[in-house]
Amino acid sequence: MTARTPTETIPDAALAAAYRAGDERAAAELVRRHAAALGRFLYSSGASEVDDLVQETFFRAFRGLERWRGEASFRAWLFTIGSNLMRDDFRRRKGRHLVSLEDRDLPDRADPHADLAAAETAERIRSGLRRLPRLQREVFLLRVQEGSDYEQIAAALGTTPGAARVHYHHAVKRLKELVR
Amino acid sequence: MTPCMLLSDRIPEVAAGRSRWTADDERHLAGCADCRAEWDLLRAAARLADSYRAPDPSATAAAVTQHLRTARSSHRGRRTVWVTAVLAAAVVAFVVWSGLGRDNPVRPVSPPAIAVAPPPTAAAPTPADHAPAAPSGATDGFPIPELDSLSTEALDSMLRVLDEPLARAAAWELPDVGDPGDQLLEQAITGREG
Repeated sequence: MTARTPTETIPDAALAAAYRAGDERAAAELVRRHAAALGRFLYSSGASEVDDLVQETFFRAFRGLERWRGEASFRAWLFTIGSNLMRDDFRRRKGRHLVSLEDRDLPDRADPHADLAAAETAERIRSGLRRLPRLQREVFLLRVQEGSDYEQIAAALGTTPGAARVHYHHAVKRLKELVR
Repeated sequence: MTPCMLLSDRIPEVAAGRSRWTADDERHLAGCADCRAEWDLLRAAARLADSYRAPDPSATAAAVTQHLRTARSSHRGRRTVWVTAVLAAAVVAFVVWSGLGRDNPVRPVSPPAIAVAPPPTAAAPTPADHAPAAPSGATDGFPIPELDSLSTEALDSMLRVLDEPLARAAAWELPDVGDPGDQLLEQAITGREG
Protein backbone atom coordinates (compact mmCIF):
# COMPACT_ATOMS: atom_id res chain seq x y z
CA MET A 1 0.00 0.00 0.00
CA THR A 2 1.43 3.36 -1.02
CA ALA A 3 1.39 6.33 1.29
CA ARG A 4 -0.95 9.10 0.22
CA THR A 5 0.32 12.64 -0.19
CA PRO A 6 -1.67 15.20 1.79
CA THR A 7 -3.24 16.75 -1.33
CA GLU A 8 -4.76 13.42 -2.41
CA THR A 9 -7.25 13.59 0.44
CA ILE A 10 -8.45 17.08 -0.43
CA PRO A 11 -11.80 17.05 -2.30
CA ASP A 12 -11.90 18.44 -5.83
CA ALA A 13 -14.20 21.27 -4.74
CA ALA A 14 -11.68 22.42 -2.12
CA LEU A 15 -8.87 22.33 -4.67
CA ALA A 16 -10.99 24.32 -7.12
CA ALA A 17 -11.69 26.90 -4.43
CA ALA A 18 -7.99 27.07 -3.59
CA TYR A 19 -7.11 27.66 -7.23
CA ARG A 20 -9.70 30.42 -7.45
CA ALA A 21 -8.07 31.98 -4.40
CA GLY A 22 -4.77 32.01 -6.29
CA ASP A 23 -3.13 28.70 -5.35
CA GLU A 24 -1.62 27.38 -8.58
CA ARG A 25 -0.59 24.10 -6.93
CA ALA A 26 -4.27 23.26 -6.51
CA ALA A 27 -4.72 23.44 -10.28
CA ALA A 28 -1.70 21.21 -10.79
CA GLU A 29 -3.14 18.66 -8.36
CA LEU A 30 -6.49 18.61 -10.17
CA VAL A 31 -4.68 18.05 -13.46
CA ARG A 32 -2.63 15.19 -11.96
CA ARG A 33 -5.80 13.67 -10.55
CA HIS A 34 -7.94 13.68 -13.71
CA ALA A 35 -5.67 13.99 -16.76
CA ALA A 36 -5.30 10.25 -17.41
CA ALA A 37 -9.04 9.52 -17.13
CA LEU A 38 -9.85 12.48 -19.34
CA GLY A 39 -7.29 11.32 -21.88
CA ARG A 40 -8.77 7.79 -21.91
CA PHE A 41 -12.26 9.22 -22.30
CA LEU A 42 -11.28 11.44 -25.23
CA TYR A 43 -9.19 8.72 -26.82
CA SER A 44 -12.04 6.24 -26.62
CA SER A 45 -14.39 8.83 -28.07
CA GLY A 46 -12.17 9.01 -31.13
CA ALA A 47 -10.40 12.31 -30.50
CA SER A 48 -7.27 13.08 -32.42
CA GLU A 49 -4.37 14.89 -30.72
CA VAL A 50 -5.65 13.76 -27.36
CA ASP A 51 -2.88 15.33 -25.27
CA ASP A 52 -3.47 18.79 -26.74
CA LEU A 53 -7.18 18.34 -26.17
CA VAL A 54 -6.57 17.32 -22.55
CA GLN A 55 -4.51 20.46 -21.92
CA GLU A 56 -7.07 22.67 -23.65
CA THR A 57 -9.87 21.07 -21.64
CA PHE A 58 -8.11 21.85 -18.36
CA PHE A 59 -7.29 25.35 -19.53
CA ARG A 60 -10.94 26.05 -20.39
CA ALA A 61 -12.08 24.46 -17.16
CA PHE A 62 -9.82 26.63 -14.99
CA ARG A 63 -10.68 29.77 -16.94
CA GLY A 64 -14.40 29.10 -16.38
CA LEU A 65 -14.16 27.53 -12.96
CA GLU A 66 -16.87 29.79 -11.54
CA ARG A 67 -19.34 27.97 -13.82
CA TRP A 68 -18.68 24.65 -12.09
CA ARG A 69 -21.23 24.59 -9.31
CA GLY A 70 -20.23 21.26 -7.86
CA GLU A 71 -23.54 19.59 -8.77
CA ALA A 72 -21.69 17.28 -11.14
CA SER A 73 -18.30 15.85 -10.27
CA PHE A 74 -15.28 17.78 -11.46
CA ARG A 75 -14.31 14.82 -13.66
CA ALA A 76 -17.71 14.68 -15.34
CA TRP A 77 -17.56 18.43 -15.89
CA LEU A 78 -14.16 17.98 -17.54
CA PHE A 79 -15.56 15.21 -19.72
CA THR A 80 -18.33 17.54 -20.86
CA ILE A 81 -15.88 20.32 -21.74
CA GLY A 82 -13.63 17.80 -23.48
CA SER A 83 -16.58 16.42 -25.46
CA ASN A 84 -17.53 19.92 -26.62
CA LEU A 85 -13.96 20.70 -27.65
CA MET A 86 -13.71 17.40 -29.48
CA ARG A 87 -16.94 18.10 -31.34
CA ASP A 88 -15.73 21.59 -32.31
CA ASP A 89 -12.42 20.13 -33.43
CA PHE A 90 -14.21 17.49 -35.45
CA ARG A 91 -16.38 20.15 -37.12
CA ARG A 92 -13.33 22.26 -37.89
CA ARG A 93 -11.81 19.31 -39.67
CA LYS A 94 -15.16 18.90 -41.45
CA GLY A 95 -15.47 15.30 -40.45
CA ARG A 96 -12.05 14.31 -41.69
CA HIS A 97 -10.86 11.90 -39.09
CA LEU A 98 -7.59 10.16 -39.56
CA VAL A 99 -6.51 7.48 -37.16
CA SER A 100 -2.78 7.11 -37.03
CA LEU A 101 -1.61 3.56 -36.54
CA GLU A 102 1.50 4.97 -34.87
CA ASP A 103 -0.62 6.75 -32.29
CA ARG A 104 -2.86 3.79 -31.70
CA ASP A 105 -0.36 0.99 -31.50
CA LEU A 106 -1.67 -2.48 -32.09
CA PRO A 107 -0.74 -5.03 -29.50
CA ASP A 108 2.10 -7.24 -30.66
CA ARG A 109 0.38 -10.59 -30.88
CA ALA A 110 1.01 -13.75 -32.84
CA ASP A 111 -2.19 -13.49 -34.91
CA PRO A 112 -2.04 -10.40 -37.16
CA HIS A 113 -5.48 -11.18 -38.65
CA ALA A 114 -7.07 -11.17 -35.21
CA ASP A 115 -5.24 -7.93 -34.40
CA LEU A 116 -6.50 -6.33 -37.56
CA ALA A 117 -10.05 -7.46 -36.83
CA ALA A 118 -9.76 -6.08 -33.29
CA ALA A 119 -8.43 -2.78 -34.62
CA GLU A 120 -11.28 -2.56 -37.11
CA THR A 121 -13.81 -3.32 -34.40
CA ALA A 122 -12.26 -0.67 -32.16
CA GLU A 123 -12.44 1.88 -34.94
CA ARG A 124 -16.06 1.01 -35.67
CA ILE A 125 -16.86 1.47 -31.98
CA ARG A 126 -15.09 4.84 -31.94
CA SER A 127 -16.96 5.86 -35.05
CA GLY A 128 -20.22 4.71 -33.48
CA LEU A 129 -19.48 6.59 -30.28
CA ARG A 130 -18.91 9.80 -32.23
CA ARG A 131 -22.35 9.41 -33.78
CA LEU A 132 -24.14 8.95 -30.46
CA PRO A 133 -25.87 11.85 -28.72
CA ARG A 134 -23.47 13.35 -26.19
CA LEU A 135 -25.32 12.20 -23.10
CA GLN A 136 -25.57 8.63 -24.38
CA ARG A 137 -21.86 8.59 -25.20
CA GLU A 138 -20.86 10.01 -21.81
CA VAL A 139 -23.10 7.59 -19.91
CA PHE A 140 -21.76 4.66 -21.93
CA LEU A 141 -18.08 5.58 -21.40
CA LEU A 142 -18.54 6.36 -17.71
CA ARG A 143 -20.24 3.00 -17.27
CA VAL A 144 -17.90 0.90 -19.39
CA GLN A 145 -14.53 2.58 -18.85
CA GLU A 146 -14.81 4.29 -15.48
CA GLY A 147 -16.93 1.53 -14.00
CA SER A 148 -19.41 4.04 -12.57
CA ASP A 149 -22.81 2.80 -11.45
CA TYR A 150 -26.01 4.58 -12.45
CA GLU A 151 -26.15 6.61 -9.23
CA GLN A 152 -22.63 7.92 -9.80
CA ILE A 153 -23.32 8.64 -13.47
CA ALA A 154 -26.53 10.46 -12.57
CA ALA A 155 -24.71 12.62 -10.04
CA ALA A 156 -21.91 13.29 -12.49
CA LEU A 157 -24.09 14.26 -15.43
CA GLY A 158 -26.90 15.95 -13.55
CA THR A 159 -29.58 13.38 -14.38
CA THR A 160 -31.44 10.61 -12.57
CA PRO A 161 -30.20 7.02 -12.20
CA GLY A 162 -33.23 5.82 -14.17
CA ALA A 163 -32.53 8.21 -17.01
CA ALA A 164 -28.85 7.23 -16.99
CA ARG A 165 -29.85 3.57 -17.33
CA VAL A 166 -32.12 4.36 -20.28
CA HIS A 167 -29.32 6.37 -21.94
CA TYR A 168 -26.94 3.48 -21.41
CA HIS A 169 -29.24 0.92 -23.01
CA HIS A 170 -30.00 3.25 -25.93
CA ALA A 171 -26.25 3.66 -26.46
CA VAL A 172 -25.64 -0.10 -26.35
CA LYS A 173 -28.46 -0.80 -28.81
CA ARG A 174 -27.26 1.86 -31.23
CA LEU A 175 -23.64 0.74 -31.00
CA LYS A 176 -24.61 -2.87 -31.64
CA GLU A 177 -26.33 -1.72 -34.84
CA LEU A 178 -23.40 0.43 -35.90
CA VAL A 179 -20.69 -2.09 -35.15
CA ARG A 180 -22.46 -5.10 -36.62
CA MET B 1 -37.50 -7.42 -16.63
CA THR B 2 -36.16 -9.81 -19.28
CA PRO B 3 -33.08 -11.96 -18.62
CA CYS B 4 -31.35 -10.09 -21.47
CA MET B 5 -31.88 -6.77 -19.70
CA LEU B 6 -30.68 -8.14 -16.37
CA LEU B 7 -27.58 -9.55 -17.99
CA SER B 8 -27.02 -6.36 -19.99
CA ASP B 9 -26.89 -4.35 -16.75
CA ARG B 10 -24.21 -6.68 -15.39
CA ILE B 11 -21.99 -6.86 -18.49
CA PRO B 12 -19.89 -3.74 -17.67
CA GLU B 13 -19.14 -5.06 -14.18
CA VAL B 14 -17.99 -8.44 -15.50
CA ALA B 15 -16.11 -6.86 -18.44
CA ALA B 16 -14.20 -4.65 -15.98
CA GLY B 17 -13.41 -7.67 -13.79
CA ARG B 18 -15.43 -6.39 -10.83
CA SER B 19 -17.92 -9.24 -11.01
CA ARG B 20 -18.27 -12.81 -12.39
CA TRP B 21 -20.90 -14.59 -14.40
CA THR B 22 -23.12 -16.96 -12.53
CA ALA B 23 -23.96 -20.36 -13.98
CA ASP B 24 -27.36 -19.01 -15.08
CA ASP B 25 -25.70 -16.07 -16.82
CA GLU B 26 -23.35 -18.38 -18.68
CA ARG B 27 -26.23 -20.59 -19.81
CA HIS B 28 -28.10 -17.53 -21.08
CA LEU B 29 -25.07 -16.21 -22.89
CA ALA B 30 -24.50 -19.52 -24.59
CA GLY B 31 -28.02 -19.46 -26.00
CA CYS B 32 -28.52 -15.75 -26.79
CA ALA B 33 -26.67 -14.35 -29.81
CA ASP B 34 -27.78 -10.79 -29.01
CA CYS B 35 -26.31 -10.91 -25.49
CA ARG B 36 -23.10 -12.48 -26.84
CA ALA B 37 -22.79 -9.63 -29.34
CA GLU B 38 -23.25 -7.15 -26.53
CA TRP B 39 -20.69 -8.92 -24.41
CA ASP B 40 -18.15 -8.73 -27.26
CA LEU B 41 -18.96 -5.09 -27.88
CA LEU B 42 -18.55 -4.14 -24.24
CA ARG B 43 -15.25 -6.00 -23.88
CA ALA B 44 -13.94 -4.25 -26.99
CA ALA B 45 -15.20 -0.85 -25.75
CA ALA B 46 -13.57 -1.37 -22.36
CA ARG B 47 -10.27 -2.03 -24.15
CA LEU B 48 -10.55 1.05 -26.36
CA ALA B 49 -8.28 3.08 -24.14
CA ASP B 50 -5.80 0.30 -23.46
CA SER B 51 -3.45 1.60 -26.11
CA TYR B 52 -3.68 5.16 -24.85
CA ARG B 53 -0.41 6.21 -23.32
CA ALA B 54 -1.13 9.14 -21.06
CA PRO B 55 1.70 11.65 -20.76
CA ASP B 56 3.31 12.27 -17.39
CA PRO B 57 0.58 14.02 -15.34
CA SER B 58 3.14 16.37 -13.81
CA ALA B 59 4.21 17.50 -17.30
CA THR B 60 0.57 18.07 -18.24
CA ALA B 61 0.01 19.98 -15.00
CA ALA B 62 3.08 22.15 -15.68
CA ALA B 63 1.93 22.86 -19.24
CA VAL B 64 -1.59 23.77 -18.11
CA THR B 65 -0.44 26.07 -15.29
CA GLN B 66 2.06 27.74 -17.63
CA HIS B 67 -0.72 28.27 -20.18
CA LEU B 68 -2.94 29.77 -17.46
CA ARG B 69 -0.11 32.04 -16.29
CA THR B 70 0.52 33.28 -19.83
CA ALA B 71 -3.17 33.91 -20.40
CA ARG B 72 -3.42 35.81 -17.11
CA SER B 73 -0.47 38.05 -17.90
CA SER B 74 -1.68 38.73 -21.45
CA HIS B 75 -5.12 39.56 -20.04
CA ARG B 76 -3.44 41.92 -17.59
CA GLY B 77 -1.43 43.43 -20.46
CA ARG B 78 -4.57 43.98 -22.52
CA ARG B 79 -6.24 45.61 -19.54
CA THR B 80 -3.24 47.92 -19.04
CA VAL B 81 -3.37 48.95 -22.71
CA TRP B 82 -7.06 49.75 -22.39
CA VAL B 83 -6.62 51.76 -19.21
CA THR B 84 -3.69 53.69 -20.76
CA ALA B 85 -5.70 54.39 -23.90
CA VAL B 86 -8.67 55.65 -21.91
CA LEU B 87 -6.45 57.86 -19.75
CA ALA B 88 -4.67 59.25 -22.82
CA ALA B 89 -8.01 60.00 -24.46
CA ALA B 90 -9.16 61.76 -21.29
CA VAL B 91 -5.99 63.89 -21.19
CA VAL B 92 -6.33 64.82 -24.88
CA ALA B 93 -9.98 65.70 -24.37
CA PHE B 94 -9.10 67.89 -21.38
CA VAL B 95 -6.31 69.68 -23.26
CA VAL B 96 -8.53 70.34 -26.28
CA TRP B 97 -11.36 71.53 -24.07
CA SER B 98 -9.17 73.89 -22.02
CA GLY B 99 -7.51 75.25 -25.21
CA LEU B 100 -10.85 76.07 -26.74
CA GLY B 101 -11.92 77.69 -23.49
CA ARG B 102 -8.94 80.11 -23.65
CA ASP B 103 -9.66 81.17 -27.25
CA ASN B 104 -13.39 81.47 -26.80
CA PRO B 105 -14.18 82.39 -23.24
CA VAL B 106 -17.31 80.79 -22.11
CA ARG B 107 -20.10 83.30 -21.85
CA PRO B 108 -22.97 82.85 -19.54
CA VAL B 109 -25.67 81.14 -21.46
CA SER B 110 -29.01 82.83 -21.35
CA PRO B 111 -31.98 80.58 -20.93
CA PRO B 112 -33.46 79.52 -24.24
CA ALA B 113 -36.33 81.59 -25.52
CA ILE B 114 -39.61 79.82 -25.31
CA ALA B 115 -41.23 81.82 -28.12
CA VAL B 116 -39.87 84.36 -30.60
CA ALA B 117 -41.87 87.57 -30.89
CA PRO B 118 -42.57 88.75 -34.44
CA PRO B 119 -40.58 91.80 -35.58
CA PRO B 120 -42.33 95.11 -34.78
CA THR B 121 -44.09 96.88 -37.62
CA ALA B 122 -44.82 100.58 -38.06
CA ALA B 123 -48.53 99.97 -38.27
CA ALA B 124 -48.72 98.17 -35.03
CA PRO B 125 -46.28 99.51 -32.51
CA THR B 126 -45.40 97.16 -29.77
CA PRO B 127 -45.51 98.10 -26.13
CA ALA B 128 -41.74 98.22 -26.27
CA ASP B 129 -41.97 101.39 -28.37
CA HIS B 130 -43.63 103.16 -25.45
CA ALA B 131 -41.27 101.89 -22.86
CA PRO B 132 -38.85 104.41 -21.43
CA ALA B 133 -35.37 104.20 -22.81
CA ALA B 134 -33.07 102.15 -20.76
CA PRO B 135 -30.51 104.12 -18.80
CA SER B 136 -27.23 104.36 -20.62
CA GLY B 137 -25.45 102.54 -17.83
CA ALA B 138 -27.70 99.58 -18.28
CA THR B 139 -27.21 99.44 -22.03
CA ASP B 140 -23.46 99.53 -21.60
CA GLY B 141 -23.63 96.37 -19.70
CA PHE B 142 -22.93 97.89 -16.29
CA PRO B 143 -26.30 98.07 -14.68
CA ILE B 144 -26.51 99.59 -11.22
CA PRO B 145 -29.36 97.66 -9.78
CA GLU B 146 -29.46 99.80 -6.60
CA LEU B 147 -30.67 102.77 -8.63
CA ASP B 148 -33.60 100.85 -10.02
CA SER B 149 -35.14 100.63 -6.61
CA LEU B 150 -34.90 104.36 -5.85
CA SER B 151 -37.83 106.72 -6.23
CA THR B 152 -37.81 109.66 -8.61
CA GLU B 153 -37.33 112.10 -5.73
CA ALA B 154 -34.36 110.20 -4.49
CA LEU B 155 -32.82 110.09 -7.97
CA ASP B 156 -33.38 113.86 -8.38
CA SER B 157 -31.81 114.43 -5.02
CA MET B 158 -28.79 112.44 -6.11
CA LEU B 159 -28.56 114.42 -9.31
CA ARG B 160 -28.73 117.62 -7.33
CA VAL B 161 -25.91 116.49 -5.10
CA LEU B 162 -23.86 115.53 -8.14
CA ASP B 163 -24.55 118.91 -9.64
CA GLU B 164 -23.65 120.93 -6.54
CA PRO B 165 -19.86 121.22 -6.89
CA LEU B 166 -20.18 122.61 -10.40
CA ALA B 167 -22.76 125.11 -9.18
CA ARG B 168 -20.50 126.11 -6.39
CA ALA B 169 -17.51 126.37 -8.76
CA ALA B 170 -19.33 129.03 -10.73
CA ALA B 171 -19.45 131.05 -7.57
CA TRP B 172 -15.78 130.63 -6.77
CA GLU B 173 -14.01 133.90 -6.43
CA LEU B 174 -11.23 134.07 -8.98
CA PRO B 175 -8.58 136.78 -8.71
CA ASP B 176 -9.23 139.80 -10.83
CA VAL B 177 -6.73 140.15 -13.71
CA GLY B 178 -6.78 143.83 -13.10
CA ASP B 179 -4.98 143.40 -9.85
CA PRO B 180 -1.37 144.44 -9.54
CA GLY B 181 -0.54 140.84 -8.85
CA ASP B 182 -1.68 140.03 -12.38
CA GLN B 183 0.61 142.49 -13.88
CA LEU B 184 3.52 140.94 -12.05
CA LEU B 185 2.58 137.54 -13.36
CA GLU B 186 2.32 138.85 -16.89
CA GLN B 187 5.72 140.37 -16.63
CA ALA B 188 7.17 137.19 -15.39
CA ILE B 189 5.67 135.20 -18.30
CA THR B 190 6.81 137.75 -20.84
CA GLY B 191 10.27 137.67 -19.35
CA ARG B 192 10.51 133.90 -19.69
CA GLU B 193 9.27 133.82 -23.26
CA GLY B 194 11.83 136.49 -24.04
